[in-house]
Amino acid sequence: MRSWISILFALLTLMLVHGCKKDVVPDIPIEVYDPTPYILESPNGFPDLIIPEDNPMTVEGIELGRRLFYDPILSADNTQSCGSCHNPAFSFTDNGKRFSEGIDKIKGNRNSMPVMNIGWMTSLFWDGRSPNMEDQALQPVINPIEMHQSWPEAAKKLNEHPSYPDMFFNAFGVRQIDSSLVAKAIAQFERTLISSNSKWDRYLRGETPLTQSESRGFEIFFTEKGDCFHCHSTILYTDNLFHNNGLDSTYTDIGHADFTKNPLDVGKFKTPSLRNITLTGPYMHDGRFNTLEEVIEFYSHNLVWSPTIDPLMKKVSQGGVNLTEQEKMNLLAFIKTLTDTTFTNNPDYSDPFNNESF
Amino acid sequence: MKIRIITLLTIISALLIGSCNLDENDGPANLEITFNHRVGNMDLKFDTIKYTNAYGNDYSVTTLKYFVSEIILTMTDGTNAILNNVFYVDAQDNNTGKIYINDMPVGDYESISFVFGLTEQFNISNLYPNPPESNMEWPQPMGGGYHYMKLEGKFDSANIVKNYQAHTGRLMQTPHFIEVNLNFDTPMVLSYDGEYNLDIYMDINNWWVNPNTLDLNNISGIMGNEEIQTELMENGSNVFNLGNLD
Repeated sequence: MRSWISILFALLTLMLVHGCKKDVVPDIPIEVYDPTPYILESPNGFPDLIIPEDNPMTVEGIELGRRLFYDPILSADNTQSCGSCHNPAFSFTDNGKRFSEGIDKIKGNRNSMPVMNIGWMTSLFWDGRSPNMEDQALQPVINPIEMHQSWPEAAKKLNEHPSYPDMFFNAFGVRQIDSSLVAKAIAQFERTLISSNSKWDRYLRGETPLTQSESRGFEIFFTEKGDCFHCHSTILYTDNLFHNNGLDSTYTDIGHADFTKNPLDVGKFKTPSLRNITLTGPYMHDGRFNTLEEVIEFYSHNLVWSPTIDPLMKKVSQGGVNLTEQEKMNLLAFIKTLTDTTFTNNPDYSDPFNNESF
Repeated sequence: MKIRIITLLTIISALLIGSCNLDENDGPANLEITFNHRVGNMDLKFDTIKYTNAYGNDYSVTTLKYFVSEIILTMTDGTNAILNNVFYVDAQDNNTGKIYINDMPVGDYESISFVFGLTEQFNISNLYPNPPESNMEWPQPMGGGYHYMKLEGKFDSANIVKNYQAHTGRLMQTPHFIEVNLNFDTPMVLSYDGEYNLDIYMDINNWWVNPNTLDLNNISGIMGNEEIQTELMENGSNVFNLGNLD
């Protein structure tokens, strides 16, 4: 019965429409905002992923974020993108450079950090000044020594772009682009940048054995012999906290204290993850060490006391943990098992502009 | 994160058949247990070398994080209310250290006991994958599981400032957790629908004395040191005391 009424109603409508002038009926298809939810799985053994309630993951949001990440439109002279200093081949760091150069050819004073497994991070930047990716993504665009573009100007360029307004509509349901939507999209893409398939992960899954040297290095890492594990802790290989690890006796770059204004935080920097560390040199917040051999030598023999040095730096009075040459080699062999080339080669993470016109 | 215990409270069945005057009109009471941290009679202040231990070391505290587990409150008639769970405390994080129990059986309690550290059922690697508990992991080559405690700071040794780390845990197959028993001077009376707060105090100075007087020069790199692990936890039996119920 109901279907008969529907048909009758449809016929009547058709007759009415047919009798009207054509321009009364909108010719533009009604747009429907219907994004596809994206379920981001946390790999086995990893902590739970916390997705902000006001930025749920969608296929459209991630794809938009990927394009924005690699699009130089976000820089004032259209020459630099996020990807310029965060290259996937280097685990999303700056191509082996100590300091990155902005569009005005001015260098920063801290080493580019990897954009990897940052969905689990509770603070970002070496000094921890940003609480989440949605906040972090806002900063390099307007930084005068990085992309050096105001957000109103960036939004204007995006709003005038032939494709971006549609992509933002598909991702967020609005065409009017602003900085917070750009940051949300980039954050969605960045949350997908997960590395969990290193040789170490495969070993944990029982898929590959470790060599004898790697196993011995593992024992050095995870005992007080090397004592790496207190800071480079958990399956993420970082505690996401801030430490003064004994680099200098005084600090001109005061690190975490720059953000907290607390003198107790002078010389403290965020613990970097050691996953893919073979790809992210040079090392430390200021890139002072070119190789991992130099880093291990530092922790073994060259620690320096300062008032805020972390109590976890146990053997500072002896210069460090005093590893033998063989122990250093074994430790490095283990650290190399944390390299994940399936992460750096993942086509879903790559620059979309290399493969298609846009 | 206030630890809310709603359904976790396991009341031993003896409670129901015991002689503790419970009937259908006896509803639960609300009890908040708070872990506080002091040196002597003063609230703990972090990061300044201002305390002196029995050995004579002048020291500071920069980090104090620990687990307690299996809290048991015992009534005067011998029946027990058991919290079969784990509680993480970071003395610098006000979101930890408070355990809220909203279905506490009414009655007269004579003592509280708990395990300092983790009993074996709770000390399994990867049982707590999320921070901050995950950062307490005790490495696999040393037996796995989690640190019971990280107590860290600095001390003055002959005018040279040094670091100490009182890290305790299960070394290989040897657990070192301790059971702490605290008796109320007068029974803690919980009445129907009442709101109560019970303060438990850790005196940091007592980690370094009674029965073992410890020199902080020896409290560094001790995770693999069976002797010091044992000495520290022997002292640990005497670091807690009770405040008044309010």
